[in-house]
Amino acid sequence: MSCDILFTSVPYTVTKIAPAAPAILIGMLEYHGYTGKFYDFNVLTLEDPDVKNFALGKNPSNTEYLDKVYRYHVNKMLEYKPNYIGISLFTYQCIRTAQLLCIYIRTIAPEVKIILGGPGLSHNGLHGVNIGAEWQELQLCDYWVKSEGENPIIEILKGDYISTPKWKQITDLDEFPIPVYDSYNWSLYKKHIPITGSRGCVRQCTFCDIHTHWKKFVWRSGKSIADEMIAQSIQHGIYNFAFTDSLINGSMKAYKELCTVLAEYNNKNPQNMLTWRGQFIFRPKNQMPEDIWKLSKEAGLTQIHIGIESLDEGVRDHMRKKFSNDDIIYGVQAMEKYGIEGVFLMIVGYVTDTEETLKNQKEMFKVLSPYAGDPIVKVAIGSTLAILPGTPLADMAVDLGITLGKDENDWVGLSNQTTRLQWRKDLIEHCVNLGYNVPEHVGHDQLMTSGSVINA
Amino acid sequence: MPEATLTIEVGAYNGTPGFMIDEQTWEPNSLTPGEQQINFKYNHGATNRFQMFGKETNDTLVDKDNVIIADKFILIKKLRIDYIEILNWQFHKHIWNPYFAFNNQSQYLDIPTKDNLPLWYINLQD
Repeated sequence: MSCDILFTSVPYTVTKIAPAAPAILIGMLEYHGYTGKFYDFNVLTLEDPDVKNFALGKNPSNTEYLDKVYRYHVNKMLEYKPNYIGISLFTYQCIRTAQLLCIYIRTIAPEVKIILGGPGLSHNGLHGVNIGAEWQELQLCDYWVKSEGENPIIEILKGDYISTPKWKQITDLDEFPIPVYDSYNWSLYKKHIPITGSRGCVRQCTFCDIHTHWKKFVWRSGKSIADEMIAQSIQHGIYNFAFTDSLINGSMKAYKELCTVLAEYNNKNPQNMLTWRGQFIFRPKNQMPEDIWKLSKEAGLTQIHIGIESLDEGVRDHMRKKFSNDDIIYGVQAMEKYGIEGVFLMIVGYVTDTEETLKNQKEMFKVLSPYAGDPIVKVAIGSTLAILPGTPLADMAVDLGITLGKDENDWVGLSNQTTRLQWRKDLIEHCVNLGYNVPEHVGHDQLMTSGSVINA
Repeated sequence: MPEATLTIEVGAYNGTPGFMIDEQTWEPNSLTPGEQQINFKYNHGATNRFQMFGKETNDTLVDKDNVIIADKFILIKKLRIDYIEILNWQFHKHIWNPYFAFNNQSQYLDIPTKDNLPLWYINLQD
């Protein structure tokens, strides 16, 4: 067993969904006559508190044990006899472990070359400090790849690549081969195959830096996505899919086409019906009429994650989300009618938030409370607002009278972090009391002590 | 032998101090004041001796409250060895005080073996 590139993910990312990127890159390698495999270091060590503590900047209880864990996994990776190890950093929380992994690889197998990639290569958002260049200077890695890796990995293997922060966005997603999941250990994951239908976003939300990263919203044809889903389900016997897109209904034309092809397939294959979930945007009734909701269900849509962010219309308008509270009520009623679950994604402490807007949000949660549990299965109240470099908010900060702090959560404007954390606590309590399921995926204590989610 | 890079700050008063890393010597007044990098050779699993010299008792200037105004010193700010960097705070917390203030003051740095390097790195992190 040997391969050109062994891809690995590194702790710490809480997920049980198989990562999409390695399979996409392996597909690209095979298309060009190379070989690739995947070893999921992150998921294999997800339950290990020492690995987690080290990743999150805390002291492992037993450093010699941590040493053994890393050696074990590096040796498992080396069993694939790779020429390169490609380390994928999914978020900033992967930086410490990626650095340690590089040190182990350099120590144990100095002949193996190291490639770094993924959004976690930058501190403080996509436009923050590039650690790839720093580590290359330290000779901790041989190459680093900013953004999309499909073309750079081929250039690296051809000896024709120089790491650079500049990159050209891929605009034709249909030109690439389908992802290869053959080396995935599916027993580690929920039975959902990742699928990518688009990159970028149709909105330009003020708090988000994706638009400056992926300047254009590009999407595959609905038929191409459906064809991939059908082929993967036949090959792996897995019929559930998880979209990696920022929005699955960013292009309504492609979305309708996708739903039409899948609904037809599901009608003809009732024993092997395909189901899928993804991130979604609420649209007004004239853009997303009821027949599209019905078609979505027939096509296999089971759950959507909606970036509601705020239930105060004024706040949401400032964010440029472009949907009203009436649109939310319409969407929730359609979801209930067609049996589609929804997860609300919320941000507390936006730059225009005040006690009044918090009160409005609480009132709207009350209005929606008959839908708590069905179809609103979760309300994810994440961190307080982080003002990331490269976002419209960072550019507007001076005009908005905002003083940026040392951490992206630690800014002062109409509110300060202490107030925002209190709002967050109040909103969580309010939602729980109304019967919503509110998982605390970012611990309140962690926010209180660190003052920053990004650097926590 | 591999080579390490040491980033130091050199404090000047009545000139700059001398500095030795094992047999490698920088004579007094040969180092320029301020931050600079010096290289030294090392062996994995061996010990390197660091020593400042050439400082007299009148090479520290203090005010009436005994607050140092100017001093002849060497401060280690960063050590780059193999693929890792050890910063000033890590010296303070895990190795030894990186501020050389006295004449003939010595410190010994135990370089890990290649095999122990990652564990050494882990133990320097918290």
